[in-house]
Amino acid sequence: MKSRPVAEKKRVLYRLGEVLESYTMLAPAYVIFLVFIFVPVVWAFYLSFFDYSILSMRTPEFSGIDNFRRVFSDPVFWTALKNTVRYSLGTVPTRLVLGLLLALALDQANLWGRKIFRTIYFLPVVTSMVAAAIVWSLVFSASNNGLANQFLSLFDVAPKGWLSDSNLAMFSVCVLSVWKDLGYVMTIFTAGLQGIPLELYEAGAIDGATVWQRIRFITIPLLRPTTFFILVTEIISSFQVFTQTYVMTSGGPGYSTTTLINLLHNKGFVQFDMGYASALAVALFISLLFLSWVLRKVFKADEIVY
Amino acid sequence: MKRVVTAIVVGLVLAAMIVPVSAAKKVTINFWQAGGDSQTAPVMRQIIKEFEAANPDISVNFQAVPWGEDPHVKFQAAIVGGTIADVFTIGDPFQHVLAASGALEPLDKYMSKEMKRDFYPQFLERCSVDGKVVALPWFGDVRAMLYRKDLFKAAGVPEPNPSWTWDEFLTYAKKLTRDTDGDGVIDQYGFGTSGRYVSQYQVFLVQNGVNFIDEEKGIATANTPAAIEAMQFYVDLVRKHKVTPPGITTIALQDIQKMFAEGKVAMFFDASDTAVRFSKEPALAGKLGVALLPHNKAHGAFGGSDVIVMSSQSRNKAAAWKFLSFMVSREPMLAYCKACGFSPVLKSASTDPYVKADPIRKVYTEQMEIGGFFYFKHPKASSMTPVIRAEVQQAMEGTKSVQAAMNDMQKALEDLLKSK
Amino acid sequence: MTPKLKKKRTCREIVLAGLKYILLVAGAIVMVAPVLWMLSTSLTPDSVIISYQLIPSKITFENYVRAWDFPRVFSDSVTLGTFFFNSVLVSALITGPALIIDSLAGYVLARRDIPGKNLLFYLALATMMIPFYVIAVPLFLVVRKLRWLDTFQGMIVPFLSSGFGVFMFKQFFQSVPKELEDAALVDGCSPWRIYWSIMLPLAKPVVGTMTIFKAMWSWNQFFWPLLIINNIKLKTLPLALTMFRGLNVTEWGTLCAGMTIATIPIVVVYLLMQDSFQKGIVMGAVKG
Repeated sequence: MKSRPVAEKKRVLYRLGEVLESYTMLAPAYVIFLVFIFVPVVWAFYLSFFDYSILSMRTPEFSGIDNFRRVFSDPVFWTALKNTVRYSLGTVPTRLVLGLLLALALDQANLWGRKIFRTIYFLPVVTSMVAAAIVWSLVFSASNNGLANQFLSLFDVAPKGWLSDSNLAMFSVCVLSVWKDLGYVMTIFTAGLQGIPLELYEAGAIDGATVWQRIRFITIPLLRPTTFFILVTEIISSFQVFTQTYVMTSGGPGYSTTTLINLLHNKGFVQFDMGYASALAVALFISLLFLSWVLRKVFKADEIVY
Repeated sequence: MKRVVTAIVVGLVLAAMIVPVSAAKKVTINFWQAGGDSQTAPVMRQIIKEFEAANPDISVNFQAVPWGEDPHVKFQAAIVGGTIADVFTIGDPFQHVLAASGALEPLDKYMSKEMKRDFYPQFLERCSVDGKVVALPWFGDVRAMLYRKDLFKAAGVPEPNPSWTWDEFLTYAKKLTRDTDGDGVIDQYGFGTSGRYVSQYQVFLVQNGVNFIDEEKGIATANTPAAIEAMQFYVDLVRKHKVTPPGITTIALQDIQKMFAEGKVAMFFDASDTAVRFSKEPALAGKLGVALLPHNKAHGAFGGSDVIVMSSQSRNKAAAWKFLSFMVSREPMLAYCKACGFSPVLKSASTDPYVKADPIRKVYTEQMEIGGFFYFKHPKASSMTPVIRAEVQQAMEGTKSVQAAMNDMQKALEDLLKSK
Repeated sequence: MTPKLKKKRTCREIVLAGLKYILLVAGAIVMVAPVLWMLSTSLTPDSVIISYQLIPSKITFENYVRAWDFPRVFSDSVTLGTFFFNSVLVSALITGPALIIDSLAGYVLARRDIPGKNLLFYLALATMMIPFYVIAVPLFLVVRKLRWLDTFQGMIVPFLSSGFGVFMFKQFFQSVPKELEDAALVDGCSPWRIYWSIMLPLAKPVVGTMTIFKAMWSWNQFFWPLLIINNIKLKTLPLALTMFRGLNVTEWGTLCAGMTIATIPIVVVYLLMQDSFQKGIVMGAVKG
């Protein structure tokens, strides 16, 4: 008679202890998120409604949605948005397709030099973006000394202003970016391919499916979770592009490589116009959230335990 | 255990007693240099060493912040964060940006009349806001024309005379743009420039008697006929006459210098430090010429200056002033200018053979006197740069007409001048 | 008929395989060319008139010596070794603790049944969507409040946990069969014990992956140290490299030597952990 409530009590206590211990285990990560991410984010949100230049030491004046109005009526913002979308469209699909092709090509266990290839293709991922951008600005140097123009001269093509021609500058930035991150995408796809049960391919082979059919009807559908993962992380990071354009072109020529973060950096750190920068940041954050929500719907990601 | 605790306590108390005494004896001030690099650091450290020897009660903690580390951004952050150095150098006209926010200590009260009088007035004027001196010039410089004597000779072009005009400049540039090895491809260009630096094209406006903004009236003047005419002349060099090498809208000045050294570019504007460096380059011996810039309606040459300032947050202003005033005194200034190839800004330094006798320095001094001008003296000056640059680059590329680019620039500058 | 068809197919396959190989090699050349070029420039004697070549005409190690001693012009006691040491220290002190912190959180979110779990997970995901520049200024002010400007802890502590790390570990721990844990629960093990003695050892490959990601990221971070570090003795390698770029003179050979020195350690880390890196991605990002 007496033992049951005791057992109950014990279980409740145990459960309580377990919950407490779990929270303690979460604490380090979330304390850091709280102090170093959430507080600054809330601060940024708050500032977006104020007319504030932190350098001027004036008290911030509440200005309602004035900062947002300034952002959206600024033609440079729309150019930057267009450039960022161009960058995203120029890099994400390219990386996705090339990365998948590479992963498929290197998926054969008997391929000679497989590991060397994987290492080489991954090499740019580990180099620093600053160093990569410096080296690539030499590659794209307008004089005929640049590697890119040396290559063109092999085919008797006149040297091009890779970074000084507004029609080419964004392309050059995209080339660097694809080069830099292709290995990452390849690696994730390789991992995804390893997760596909071999039996499925064997079954496909028995049914007389061609290589292409196998890829089309087995590999690609089964890679959906992987593709979703890559797409989300790649799109998010493509909207944050900055170092490349900052080092190679400082956003020029004209505004042709000015991206959203270039604009944010310029407003926030060169002009210290925190109101504008914060409003831009908030707009960017909300659109990224929205974009990942759309992607989830498109990929029916809710079905993919994520 | 107890003894250990006692020992520690006693030790701490003793230390606490000693520290203030020694601190009262020796003051440490922080000094940061924007754009400090491997060329400037040795001489700067030597100057500091001399200062410390003469002032044993002050020690200077020196940090060089290379341009690659974005010193202006960094310094602004440090001002906001309250960690800014007591004394620091910045590039003109950044003192106006900082002064507008009250970050700089006004210096008049520290300065003697003799000291004020020794600075060239146009430089001191650059450092004043509403009649108050907020910074002191630390060296000065203008751009003059660097040219290749050998290439001029090979193309049969006379060397520029001091009163040459835009027309002569254009004629020379055209003649100097040629195919030297006869393979049908142009491999030498008359004029090297870059759309990346406002200094490279603002000078044409000034030579035409205008500027992007009228500082006195506080209005933008980018789409006035004279400004458009000047910009058209510049853009035509690139697009119509094609006397400039390809791909120059965003090129780094270093690359232009390289092309000049390699003989691919016959003329370009640069400061005296480059001229001095090239004059010592064995490969360019006897080939380097330095001339005044051409003119149209007026003379004009973009001047630059690094200035030295004291933070209003400094807790050791007396020591900071001692150091600052030492830095801008004759000997240290001359030492720095000699090492880096710049011009001193003190009248008393003009007697030094470095200023008096050096042929390169002479051209630069003359250029400064007949047409030196500076970037805008405005709190929004650094915000104007990206706007001007972006519009000019678009015109250089032909994605916009000069007229359209200048109209858009006008609007953007008006917005900046209006904003708080 | 059948044999003929088969032969034709193998023939086509050989051609395809050859073509694939050529493309792979061509791609690999494009990938390494810039890196090789950096190496080659670092081995070429420096002069005003530089010509960029893929293969150096004359090899010298002078640039490396120069790069190593270069920082001495700024301060007697500083060499490239100082920055190298700082970089190692900062990267190690971010990577090590971050692995524990992220995996702890990942484990709890994957396995413990606690209130608010989903919300916490989405918060962790949301951190991935915030560009660093958005929070840089407020973060600077937070770090100033903590009096951590110009300190190592200022470079380290804000990055000790990451949404990406929490996510990867959570995905992995979710895929571990429940039975393993149940046995321990019957024995009355606490969540901490289960995490430490059962789950974490299983997560080795994910640890490998995250080590590379974290090390790579912290080794190469540039903007944040630039903002908060002024003391030359605390600078890390990426910051130090800016010293090689003067206003007028960039010593490309020295710069490339410095960049090479800055790249090698991280490449070595990758080569050492390559195998578990790949496995960890399978477990963290793909399964789950």
